[in-house]
Formats: sequence, structure tokens, C-alpha cells
Amino acid sequence: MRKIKKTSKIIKNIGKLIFWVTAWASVLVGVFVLLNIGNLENMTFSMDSQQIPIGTIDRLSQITLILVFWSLVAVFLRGLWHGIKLFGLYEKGEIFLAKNIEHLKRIGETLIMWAIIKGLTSFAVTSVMLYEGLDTGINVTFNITALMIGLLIYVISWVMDEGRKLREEQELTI
Amino acid sequence: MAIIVNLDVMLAIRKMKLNDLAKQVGITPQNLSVLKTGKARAIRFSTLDAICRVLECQPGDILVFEPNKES
Repeated sequence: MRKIKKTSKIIKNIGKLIFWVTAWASVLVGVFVLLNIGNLENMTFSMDSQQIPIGTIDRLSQITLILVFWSLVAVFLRGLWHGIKLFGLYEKGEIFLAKNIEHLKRIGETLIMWAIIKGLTSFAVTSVMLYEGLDTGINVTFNITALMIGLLIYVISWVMDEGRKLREEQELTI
Repeated sequence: MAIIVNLDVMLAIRKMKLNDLAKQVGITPQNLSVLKTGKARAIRFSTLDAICRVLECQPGDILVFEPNKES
């Protein structure tokens, strides 16, 4: 149990660091692009091997790409947040409780959301590229791996929840 | 739950304390308190048998069905 607590504390703290660095960096990048601060000429937006020079494109395209970027970051941060909360509970020694299962379920949901958002955003990026006349062909990707892992985690958390209910029932049988 | 546990009533009638009953029945006072407060999900026949034996009563004296209470 001590090992679990110690490892969970390390993972939680690394997660927290990644969370805040990602959150602030994404906000700053967005603000810089939207307010045209700094040298945007050398900045490129990369996604699924597609590269778009931020500085040379239309304002509407810039806003679209920032919204795409923020939506992906938001989903990532949601998953990370539930991961931090989950390992925070493990750190306190709270294992197999309703709260843990709830966070695990949310992580599964986030992975499913990631797969959907990835498809939608790749469609938006392709639209921007077509609008800007950057001829790279239509490239819409769908993250099947994230979807499968998400579904798997969701099902596992559901089974764990049933197990918890059984244990609770057993404990309340006098 | 539509099943009401009247253990406290029976204890009052027999002028017995929860701890004494727990000792005689052979379960912990905490578990008996769970039963008394109606938080228990189920009761074993062996527990019911022991309680009825000690309190000299019928299962119906301890467990009552009240249809108007929500289940």
C-alpha cells in the first residue's frame, strides 16, 4: 500500500505539472495568435503531418485553427484532470470506491471524446487548407485506437462499479 | 425501504441494551446498530434466528412491511 501511495503521489505531481504548463502555454499561444503579438511568420500549425503557416493565412482561418487547438487541449486537460484526481485518491489510500470508478469512467469518456474531436478537427483543418488554397488533398483522420481504449476503460469501470456494489451489499448484510 | 426494522421497539419491551443483545447474539454492536437504524441491505436467517431466540419473539415482531413507505 505504501508503494502505491508513493507512486501515485509522483504520478499526480507530474500530471499536475503537465496540466498547468499545457493550460498556460495553450492560452498564451492562442492569445499571441489572436492579438498578433510576436513573430507569427515562423509559426506553423501541425496536425497529422499537415503543416499550415499561421502568419500567412487569413484571420478567419487563424481563429479556426486556434479553436481547433483549444478544443484538443481542452479534451486532453479533461482527461488529465480526472487522472490527477484518481491518483490523488490512490495517494490517500482510497481504492475501489465510487469516486475512483467515477474518475476512471470520465477518463474513458474523454478518450472517446478525443477520437470524435480528432475527427472533427481534422475536418476543420482540411477545410482551412482548402479555403487557403494549400493543396494537400482531403485528410480526415479518426483515432480508432483512442476510441477502442476509451470503450475498454469505460466497460472496465462499469464492471468495477458492479463489483463495488456487490461488496457494499455484502458489507451491509447482517 | 418498505421493510421497517423494529429492533429498538423490541429492545425497549425486553428492557435490553443493544450491546447486551450484540453479545448474546454474537455479532458486533456496530453491525447490530446498522440493522437497528435500517441501513442494512439484508439479514441472514442465522442472525434473525439468534435475535428471535434472545428476544423471545417472532421475525414479524422485528421486521414489518409498510406498503406506504417508498421502496
